[in-house]
Amino acid sequence: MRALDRKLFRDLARMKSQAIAIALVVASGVALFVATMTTYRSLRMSEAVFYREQRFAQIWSGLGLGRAPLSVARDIAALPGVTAVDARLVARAILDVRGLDVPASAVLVSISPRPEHPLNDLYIRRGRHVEPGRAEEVMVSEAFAEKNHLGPGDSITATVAGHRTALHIVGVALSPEFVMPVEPGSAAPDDQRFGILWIARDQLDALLDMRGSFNDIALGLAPGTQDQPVIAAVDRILAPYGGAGAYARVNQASHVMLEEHIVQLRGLTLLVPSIFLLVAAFLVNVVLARLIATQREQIGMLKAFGYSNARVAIHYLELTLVIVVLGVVLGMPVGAWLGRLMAVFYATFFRFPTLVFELEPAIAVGGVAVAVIAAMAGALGTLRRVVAMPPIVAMTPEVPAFRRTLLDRIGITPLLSSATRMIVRNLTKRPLRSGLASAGMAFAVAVVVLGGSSADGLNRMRDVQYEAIQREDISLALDHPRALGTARDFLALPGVRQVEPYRVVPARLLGRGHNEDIALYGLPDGGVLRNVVDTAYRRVPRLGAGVVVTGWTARRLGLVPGDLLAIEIRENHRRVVMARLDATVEDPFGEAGYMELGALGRLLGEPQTYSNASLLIDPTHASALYDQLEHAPHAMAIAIRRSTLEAHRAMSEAPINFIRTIVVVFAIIIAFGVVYNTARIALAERSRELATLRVLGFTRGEASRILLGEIAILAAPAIPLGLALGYRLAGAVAAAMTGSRMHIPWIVSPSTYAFAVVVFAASALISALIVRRRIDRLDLVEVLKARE
Amino acid sequence: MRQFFRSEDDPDPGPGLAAFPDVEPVLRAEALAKTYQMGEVEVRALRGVDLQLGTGELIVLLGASGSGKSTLLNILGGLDVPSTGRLVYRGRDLTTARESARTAYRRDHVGFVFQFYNLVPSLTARENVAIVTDLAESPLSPEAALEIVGLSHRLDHFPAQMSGGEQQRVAIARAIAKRPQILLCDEPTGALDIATGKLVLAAIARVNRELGSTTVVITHNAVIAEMADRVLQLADGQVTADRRNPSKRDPAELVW
Repeated sequence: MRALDRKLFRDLARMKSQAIAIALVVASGVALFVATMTTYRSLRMSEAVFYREQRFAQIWSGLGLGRAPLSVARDIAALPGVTAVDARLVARAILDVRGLDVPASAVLVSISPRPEHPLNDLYIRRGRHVEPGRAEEVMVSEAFAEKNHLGPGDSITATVAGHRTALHIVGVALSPEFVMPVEPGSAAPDDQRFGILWIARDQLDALLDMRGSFNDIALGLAPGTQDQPVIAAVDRILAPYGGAGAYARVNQASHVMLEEHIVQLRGLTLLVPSIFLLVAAFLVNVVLARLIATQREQIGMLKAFGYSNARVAIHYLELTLVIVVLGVVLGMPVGAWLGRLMAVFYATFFRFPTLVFELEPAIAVGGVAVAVIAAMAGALGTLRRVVAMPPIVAMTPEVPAFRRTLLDRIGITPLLSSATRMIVRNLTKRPLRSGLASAGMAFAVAVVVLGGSSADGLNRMRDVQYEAIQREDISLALDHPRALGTARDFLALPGVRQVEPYRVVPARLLGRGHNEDIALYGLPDGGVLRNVVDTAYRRVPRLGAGVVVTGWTARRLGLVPGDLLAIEIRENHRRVVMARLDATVEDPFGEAGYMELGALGRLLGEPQTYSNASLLIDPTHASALYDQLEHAPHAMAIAIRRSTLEAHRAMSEAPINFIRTIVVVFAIIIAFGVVYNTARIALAERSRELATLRVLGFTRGEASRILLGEIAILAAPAIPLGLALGYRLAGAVAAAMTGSRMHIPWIVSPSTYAFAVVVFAASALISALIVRRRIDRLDLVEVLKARE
Repeated sequence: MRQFFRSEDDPDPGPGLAAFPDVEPVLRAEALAKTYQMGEVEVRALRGVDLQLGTGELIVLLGASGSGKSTLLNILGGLDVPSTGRLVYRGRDLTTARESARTAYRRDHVGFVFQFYNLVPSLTARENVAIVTDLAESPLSPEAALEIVGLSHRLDHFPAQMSGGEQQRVAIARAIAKRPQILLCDEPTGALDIATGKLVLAAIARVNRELGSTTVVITHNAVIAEMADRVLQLADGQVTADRRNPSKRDPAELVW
């Protein structure tokens, strides 16, 4: 080992705690980069493998309440580019599950016997595939099975199209069509109350009385086939049978949900790690600047003895790189571990047969690259100064030259104590460095705010959806639209205190060059159980004659309130109607449009009808009511608000706590990294001064307070700055994470702010106390012997 | 400032040092020994020093480098504790005193002047002196202290704006502003040229005369001994000579 390398390691050993503090910040950035990146890639690859192996379809079309003969499916199969079709039956069912005290809902999907599955093949997790000819066999979706402890050999009772039937579970399965099963019309998954049942074609034929026809079709396309011509052709062919409009993967419910989350993750992969790398760059900058300031004479000596500028600069660069390598070595496995944890969390929402997870070399290389680039950026200015130092200048000590400042001229300093004067002059002497130190600390505060804001946003979404928009206890979907007068019949059911009918119809909003598929709601005037909220989440008291949609939808369609909007109604016979856009509103979990119930009925040509009912019930009669609803001939699906709300809360709790823990750990690392390094540098620069004060009779406490007071003054503005920065970052993250369906609100709750302040203040205090121990141990005699 | 700085971890020394009656001598050292462990090697810096410093005496402590004179000064000033032996300030044993009591001893009774001035660079001359006067019971004003060392015209200058001699005189003003019982000067002229050095020594002599502080100046420069009441010679960690000057000379007359 050459002498210069030996110096490198001795220097590192001497500054080891500072080096470790920087390495930890680098490690955090690398870990977050690797974790979010591998999770992102894990979801992408798991999705791709699942879609490929199970032959996920590319085009779908439902027929709403209609049906078409199987011969029509052959016409569709003959379309150019279509490689496979699965003409099937899909129905809603109400389930009576043993051990579950509320009714559950299911989507029943007919499945052709193996091995001729052309599309959307099931992955059998347990048990076996249903076999034709065997009565009442079903396979259930995995999440529903898990939540209800169901497996092969168990039975459930289903009401399908008014027929009550016992179904025997023979298998537990996963489908690429239902990676995250969410009940149609519901905002969030409720795995206990909603599942998918796959049943042999001949069995569902019999239950629905639809032999020889289909009401839903899935298509596979040859590679390179354009979606749009096929969609148009399918729409044309199915139009006479009530085709609800074909759609491609980009509009397939499960795929949309999955893509939302994948896009959210991609938004995080760049934003969050860069905060840490920015802080790391700053720390490298100040620590290296301090190091070369103390080593001016050594640099001069090296240059005087003939070491080139480049060699000396490389020496200090190597020192930086050793710290970065340490950070990478620490961060990489932590990132892989965190990534795996995150992927496992995602795997509880997204049901993949196998979660593909690997630390890809490209991600590892990327992690190293971003860390090195950040450190280089931090080191650059300092290295330039090393190169620029001529040997003679470098060998004369740098005298800290204080001058009178603005504060002296306006006469404030005489009012201050000597200690305060020293603090103020030291801070104002290097305003940039002081500002950057405060900014670095502000990042620690901001990271906690950012971490808490995701929970705040999710909580707000849930509150808006389940406290403001949905106020009913139970909502029922009917099998067919019915006359409005029959809604009152629900009052005769046990425990029903209030009924509000509403209408939901699938619709396509036709914009300028862009269409949006939505659910169009008709809500009764004066209703209180289903509401519309504006962008400030306030209840919109009255709907007018026109339609309201979310601001996001309106922007996508290029519409402003007052414009006329073309709406294609996609139920029964498709037709286009015109309505005026009255206003834009908010809809946190989805895309919906709203009209007044009567206005929608007139628009549809079906006045005085409803398709759904919101019920307010007396909870003491709930089980009697559920019993009746499970047998109700016209009820197609039942949603229970409290259950969905609880399911959502339970589902989001673990990831939110996980994120909060991670964020707190990382914020502590940043706070420690910045506070500790700032204090250590201040101590190095002023150890002589502090020792002198100790000799003159200052106590340990008094001497420490001069240094720690400086840190406190830097930390104080970091708190408001960090809160503001955190709020801004939360906005950026909310924007990065908002996809087409989920509108994550940009919200930071007061408790999140308070938590951020507490976490930062505590970690700053502890870092400061560690440095205080060093001040206490200052060797007075040694320090006084040394020359400046 | 006193209020601001008083903390729980630094209890008031109470009826400690200041309460002792004014008895001669001010400071008494008995068989002081100091041994340092430098890696494998044991360095015996002091090997049994007996010493009495009387009130108002100006003492020059001569010794070559390595003779142990800085170690002795540090122990006398309460910066360090002896390995064995006793140090008594006005009847109070400093060898067994806690760190906080030694801090109070330095704060209330001792003034230090160092070879390299050790001024606070972020404070002006006046403010550097005020650091000490803020802590003391009945100090001179910073302006008065700076007047004694002849720096009335440099009150608002920062250390970086002053010459070495001026900086050292600020350091003396800082040391004497509290009217210390004991003034300890470690090679005060070591970093200065002759002319400036004489100015600094004159300031020390004046302080000794006017405030009556017991003053110890350590130096390797034998000429300086001529300004002393009493000269101690230190070699190899022991006092080898202790003599009184029949007549002391004015620093201005010194030649080296």
